[in-house]
Amino acid sequence: MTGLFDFWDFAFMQRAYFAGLVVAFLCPTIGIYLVLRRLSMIGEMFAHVSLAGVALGIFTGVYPLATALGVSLGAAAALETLRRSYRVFTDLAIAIIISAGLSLAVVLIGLSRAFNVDLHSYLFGSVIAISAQDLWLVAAVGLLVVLFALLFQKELFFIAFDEEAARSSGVAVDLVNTLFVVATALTISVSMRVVGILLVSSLITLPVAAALQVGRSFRTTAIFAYVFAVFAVLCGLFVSYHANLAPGGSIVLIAVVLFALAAGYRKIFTRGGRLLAKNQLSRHPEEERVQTNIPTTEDY
Amino acid sequence: MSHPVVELDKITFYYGDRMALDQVSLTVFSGDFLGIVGPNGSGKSTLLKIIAGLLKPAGGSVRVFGTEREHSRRETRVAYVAQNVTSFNQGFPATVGETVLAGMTGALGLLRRPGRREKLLVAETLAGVGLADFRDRLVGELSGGQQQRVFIARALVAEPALLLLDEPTVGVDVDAKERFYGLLAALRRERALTLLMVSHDVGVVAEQVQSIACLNGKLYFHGPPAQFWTEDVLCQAYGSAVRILHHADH
Repeated sequence: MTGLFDFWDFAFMQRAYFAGLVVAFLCPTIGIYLVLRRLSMIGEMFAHVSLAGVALGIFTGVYPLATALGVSLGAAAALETLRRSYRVFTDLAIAIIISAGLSLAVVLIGLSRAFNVDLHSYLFGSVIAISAQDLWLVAAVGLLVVLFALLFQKELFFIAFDEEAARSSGVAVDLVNTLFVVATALTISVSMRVVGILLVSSLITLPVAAALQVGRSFRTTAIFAYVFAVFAVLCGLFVSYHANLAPGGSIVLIAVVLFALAAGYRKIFTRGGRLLAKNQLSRHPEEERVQTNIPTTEDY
Repeated sequence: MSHPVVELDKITFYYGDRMALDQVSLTVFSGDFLGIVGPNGSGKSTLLKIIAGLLKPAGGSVRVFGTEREHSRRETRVAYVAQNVTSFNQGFPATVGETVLAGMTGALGLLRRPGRREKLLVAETLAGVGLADFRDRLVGELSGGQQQRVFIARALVAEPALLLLDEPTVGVDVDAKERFYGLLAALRRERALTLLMVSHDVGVVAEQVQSIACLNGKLYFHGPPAQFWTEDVLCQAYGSAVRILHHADH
């Protein structure tokens, strides 16, 4: 008998789902702070740098996920050095590292003389390519990053909201920022195994962008982001298996649809309910401007 | 007994080649309410940021609560409310309660999560600034004056002994301004709080504070408001740059 869920009989699908779930929790965990600090491009940066790492792994015959992790951590150090020692603007520093990563990747791919299947699976993600080794690494890194985010939640929130106030009130801002960049590098390196290098930063930003449309506090925004990310990954893997598509594309497309739905919901809700109630509540003209300032994806 | 809370000794600060502060020495005692005034670009905000530990002076020493600022980077008795604090990302998804609770972060230290005591403090502080009913509202949805009070509450929740305010009443309407000064007066009655407030609004500040520091690169005056008007320092600090400086005794 063939059913919709008989893919569960395959060990590789179980691995894909497990790794996918870990990634679905990881990406919004890091993404919510990246998005709120307007640093979404750092996701893109680590993705490009990871490509160089993967290419290096394939070229040298070393486990590509490990080389991707290593190169990403190197990029994290480079970013901090450029920002602190050379006083380069963050966005420019990111652009420089993206260029360095991408050019290195192109050269290494050229040297290995093959745009092979393996590289393809890293670029677009692959359901069947996730090995037991990958799964262990994804799980270990996932545990580490989630633990970090839990332990440093109040610091991460305060710094994201108001770094200056956090610093002046005695928060160890530099320490937390450094750990955060490392956690971001780790998250992206392992997440790309599932969604692929080209789309990994979408999974970092889209569920958070959607959650921002409907969240009414930081807590609920974070919960919505997790729900959206898990839904997108589970459905995306399902569709990808049945339609024989690359998982990255289906997962992120579903995330895009979720964002559109959330944005639509907010527009209707705001027009019909909240704004009306607010106008009756207060006569402060400043309150009106608020409605237009909630970040949209264009801001990222 | 009042003891020195802030001791600045010959502070110098440069932005690139431009000297923003020139040998500024100033001592603030506990319980004082000091207004720092001066024209635009006179280094008022810079001085406050140095005291807050956000900027490092090129020369001179900064002592806060008797400790060199450099060695007390984790000083949690100081609270700083920045200029334009209300120009934050208005779409930031934080409720008033979440925002004020964040003020406890430094005082709690790493790895400690806020518990019932902290939540209680948040409720008390919000009641103190008149925002008890706003705990679950998004900060971005409040008026400018209300947001101002949220950030004051965030600074106050960790029960600081030194509160640094940079142009706190810019961008809020007259009503909110009056309420704000009322709040400061109440806070000074209830807590052992030393207050430093930067403002360009000399007239209003002189009415509210206990002492005034007049700054324009150098410190032109430090003393009680009554003396400030008689000493004619205003035209010196604000007047032409070639005027010879005059140190009033404090």
